Amino acid sequence: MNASYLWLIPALPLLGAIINGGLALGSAKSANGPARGFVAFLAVLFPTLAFVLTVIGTAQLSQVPARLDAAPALVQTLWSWFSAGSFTLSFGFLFDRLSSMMLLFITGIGSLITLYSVGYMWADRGFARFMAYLNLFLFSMILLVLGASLPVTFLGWEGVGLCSYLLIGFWHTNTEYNDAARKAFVVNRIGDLGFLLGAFALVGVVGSLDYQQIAAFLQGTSKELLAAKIGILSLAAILLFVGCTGKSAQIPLLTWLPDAMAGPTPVSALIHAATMVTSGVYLLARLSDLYAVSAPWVLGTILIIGCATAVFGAVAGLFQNDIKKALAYSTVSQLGFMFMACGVGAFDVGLFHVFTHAFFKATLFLGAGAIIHVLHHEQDMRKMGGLAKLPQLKGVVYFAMFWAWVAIIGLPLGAGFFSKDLILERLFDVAGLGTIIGVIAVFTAGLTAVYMTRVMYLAFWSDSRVDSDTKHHLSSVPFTMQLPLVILGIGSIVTGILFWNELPQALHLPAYFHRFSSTLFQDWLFPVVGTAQAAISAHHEHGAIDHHMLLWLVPVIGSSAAVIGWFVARSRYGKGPIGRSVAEEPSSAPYGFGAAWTFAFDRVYDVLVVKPVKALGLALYWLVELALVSGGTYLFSLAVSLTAGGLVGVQRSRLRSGLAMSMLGLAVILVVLLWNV
Amino acid sequence: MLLLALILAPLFAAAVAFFASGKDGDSSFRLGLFLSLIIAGLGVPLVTCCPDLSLSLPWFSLWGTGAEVKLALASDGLSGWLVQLVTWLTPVAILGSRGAVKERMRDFIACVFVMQALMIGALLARDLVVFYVCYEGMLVPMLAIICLFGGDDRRTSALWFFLYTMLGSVMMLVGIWYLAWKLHTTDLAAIVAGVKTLPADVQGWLFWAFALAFAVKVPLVPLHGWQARTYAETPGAGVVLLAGAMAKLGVYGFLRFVLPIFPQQSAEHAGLFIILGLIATVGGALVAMAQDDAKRMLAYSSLSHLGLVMVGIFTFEATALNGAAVQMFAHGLSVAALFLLVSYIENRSRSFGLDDFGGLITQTPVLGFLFIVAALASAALPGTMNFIGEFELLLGMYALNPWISAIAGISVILGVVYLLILIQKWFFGKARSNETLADVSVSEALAVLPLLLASFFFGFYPAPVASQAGMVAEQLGAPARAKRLEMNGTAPTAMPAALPPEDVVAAPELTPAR
Repeated sequence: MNASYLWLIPALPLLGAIINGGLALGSAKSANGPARGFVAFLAVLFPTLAFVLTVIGTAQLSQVPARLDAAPALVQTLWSWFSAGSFTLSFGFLFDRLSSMMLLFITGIGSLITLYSVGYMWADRGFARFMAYLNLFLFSMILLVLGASLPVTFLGWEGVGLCSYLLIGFWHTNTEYNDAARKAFVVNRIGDLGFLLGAFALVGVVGSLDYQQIAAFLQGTSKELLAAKIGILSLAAILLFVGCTGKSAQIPLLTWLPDAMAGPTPVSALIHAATMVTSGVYLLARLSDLYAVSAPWVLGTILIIGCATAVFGAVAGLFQNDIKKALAYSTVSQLGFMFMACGVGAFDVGLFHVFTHAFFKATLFLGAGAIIHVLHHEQDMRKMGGLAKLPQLKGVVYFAMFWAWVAIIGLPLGAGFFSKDLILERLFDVAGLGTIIGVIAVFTAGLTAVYMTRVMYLAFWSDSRVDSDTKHHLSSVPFTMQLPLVILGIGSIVTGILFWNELPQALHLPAYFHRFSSTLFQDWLFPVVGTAQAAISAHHEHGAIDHHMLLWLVPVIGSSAAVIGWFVARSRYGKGPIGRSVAEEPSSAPYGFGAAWTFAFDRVYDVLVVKPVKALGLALYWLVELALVSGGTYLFSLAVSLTAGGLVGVQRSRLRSGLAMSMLGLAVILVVLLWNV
Repeated sequence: MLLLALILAPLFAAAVAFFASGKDGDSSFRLGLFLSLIIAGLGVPLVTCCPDLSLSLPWFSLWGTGAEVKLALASDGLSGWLVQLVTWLTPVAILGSRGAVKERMRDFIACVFVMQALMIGALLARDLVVFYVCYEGMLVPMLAIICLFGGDDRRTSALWFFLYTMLGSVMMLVGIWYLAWKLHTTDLAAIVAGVKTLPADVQGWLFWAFALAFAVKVPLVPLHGWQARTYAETPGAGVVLLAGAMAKLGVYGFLRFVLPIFPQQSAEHAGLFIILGLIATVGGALVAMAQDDAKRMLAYSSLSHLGLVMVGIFTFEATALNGAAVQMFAHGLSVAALFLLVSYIENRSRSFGLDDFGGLITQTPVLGFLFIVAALASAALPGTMNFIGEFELLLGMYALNPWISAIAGISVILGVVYLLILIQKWFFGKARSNETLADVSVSEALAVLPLLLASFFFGFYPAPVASQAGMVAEQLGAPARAKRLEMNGTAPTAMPAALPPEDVVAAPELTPAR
């Protein structure tokens, strides 16, 4: 079905970016920059309009009946983008149920975080520039999920990388921030090369990069023919996953995300928690049919990488003193959970965790931003404590953070409870590797509760360790920052019911609860990922535990892990004035660990990649370029100058006359030639 | 007649500029800009209303060969779009040269116009002698620009540039003369048809005579010795034409002459050229990282990007050939913009070292913005034309051999590394000198802005270039591709699409784009 307004969804934020960017550039030399009110109005207006259009599109899409042979979708083909040889590609948009789900929270949360930024960045000189970047980011992110083909997605894919670069290095006089920004861009580019090569491999088999054509081809081609091509298909799948590890900060390309916390906090909330970093999961789900027909080792790799990343992020999160770093490692860990779900072919569950995580992690980051705002740029949790009692924070900020905490550790009724338990359930449903990973995932869920509760104790629940200087000059949290926190905080709790599933029946709850027995989320995504999921689970051997038993066992195990983790953290930080030991030690982690837990990766990459590449460049320059090529040329030119020096000498000494003579000579040649006609 | 007018008009403009304009720089500048815009307008029909013009006038007989040289000119998509590159880069070069050239504008403009005439001539020529005259003639005004307006080391660099290109071209001159002697013609179409009658070993020598001449101009490793030095010493506005347009003539030469005339030899030596191209692509990017001045960095970046184009051409894949045509145009835009912006900074502070500046974005926000956008275009950010070019090139390489694509792809990563280092050192961080630089003037910004806008326009809508220039490039490479398939003993197939279409159930029809 055609929808001619789809282009407006990305175009509106782009317009906002252009206007505000122009204003920022035009007023770059003035003391204050353009009028903040106007800039803020535009910056919030355009994403909000995009959100409204997305809602309209979703409403229209829900009217399209789902058929087995064709997933419901609104499409708009704008123009033929490029064609070479027999490869053609249109520039077009695909608004199907997956895109609509992604777009709803991208534009929705995006608008809210833009609103929040109005309050957070108000005093910053670069206000208009920041707003322009945010709009540009939303434009790219919308392209990423709305693109009808891999290249259009890639346009957004690299676009969000660029915006991430610009926003991490937003305060560009700080060299450390600039380095972090550059690192993020380069690491992402490494992944992007994987993306490109994967796409090329796919062209070799499918002959097209259009999502609908890819899906139709992979679902419609006979098993034998696909089996003959399984090598190339698996290669394409794993290369595209390399792209995902870059964008979604998975092992081995995760090192940029903790550093990316150099950016302003709303950026961390929007880009480095809620939206951009989840695009890897989106891509896997988008190409779920590809993963369904690739060799099992591809999904196995994704499963193991996701699990390793989840554990690593959770352990690293235990040792962070910077509140944003703690949340960053938490994001890494949660992304690992999403990839674990994809690894057993549970794309809908992975996406559900993307969805709920967007709410509660954005809330946590925005809450952290509010704390940082109130405490005048203090991010060190050792200098916090007792924030729950501060008048500026005890209302909206504390309660939003509290509910987000409930959600992330997986206490019953929080959004994370549903999404995380669904992941565990699907893991345990697969025998062998799936079950083993499931056990590790439960352990990791417990760790999540430990590090998040630690954050809550250090920040909110312990005695105050705030500097007395700071204490007397606390800022207040403006309304523009409070409203998004309220909405997202509510979202952290209520979004869970979208995937309530058969839980009420399984728990033998009274009939009243059966009314909520909604599988809205799962049903909604079924036409996009359902075929692939069915195909993948057909290959799986079902786990030892009976499916119906899982339905009540996993929630019990999951919430027990959360409660145990909570109490572990409580026993360490919740008794007495914990401030002493934590506050006075330079770090609660081994030396070097507290700052950046990715240091091991950084060190390895530095030794194995960065330094050798630099050295190779220098060696090539000095040995080959200067010594060999230039040296050789120099000797040769010297010989020529000595033997035929006269003519060159004349030209060199009298440049003007030399030029005139050359012109004359040329003219003479022309005349002579023409004379012959 | 339009074709002839396109060659004569710049010559006429050169004469007008040289004799009629006043002594002061301003009047020459205005006159030159005005004339160059008229010429640019004159060239537009080549890619719009009349894409297939041709003209053939009898000229003279080549002494001792019996070959009748005709002033044979023709335009097709490839020539037409490269002519656009030349004609539109000329006003850009003039507009951007205001700060560097100052009072000797008259000489500069005369040189630029002569060079423009000869580049257009070389692009339109369909006769080897006419081509050679223009191709060689280009050197004279370029050398004049280097010698008159270059940096401190201009003499050596001019000499190197002269020696390299001259040595390459002499071989080609001998080759052309030999062809004329044997085949009694210098017409390109007749040569393409006739060269097959020559003995194989002679064809081999002739192939090298042509290939070397063009490889120097591209340049291709190991014949690039002149490049970094010349780019560094040539004034910014001159590099715009040198790197933006003239270097493309080397690639053009491969597409127009080497591949069609010597398909057999091209196919035989494709492996060597692909390896050399890969060395240039990756090595150029690595060396660019080791540079401490911006012009040399951009020179090596150019080496890298054009190396990629060469690899693509010698895969003979339709996708890659199309990409090569697109990338030639795209690279012309982005490299011209970058060199112009570097020259603006050079004009303000007489320096272009990486460590000489810091935090410029606060002093020169507009210049910084333009620079970052131009750098991103050069790094092939999707949405720019360079992305289309690189995507098609890499896709074509992948179809031939995934490893070629993967190795060449390393330059995609490295390309970001050095450009981001340059951006960070110059524009971010804290100021490193007390000097305060002025932001770009309106005319300076106007010189760069059209290049960037064009890069984005064609990035989203490359069809005009891809379907006209790209199609021609695909056709020019087709014979060589057929030869390679013949050598490999495989019949020509349309596409790497491995499965026949009837196996595709319910797949929507692919909509043909052209």
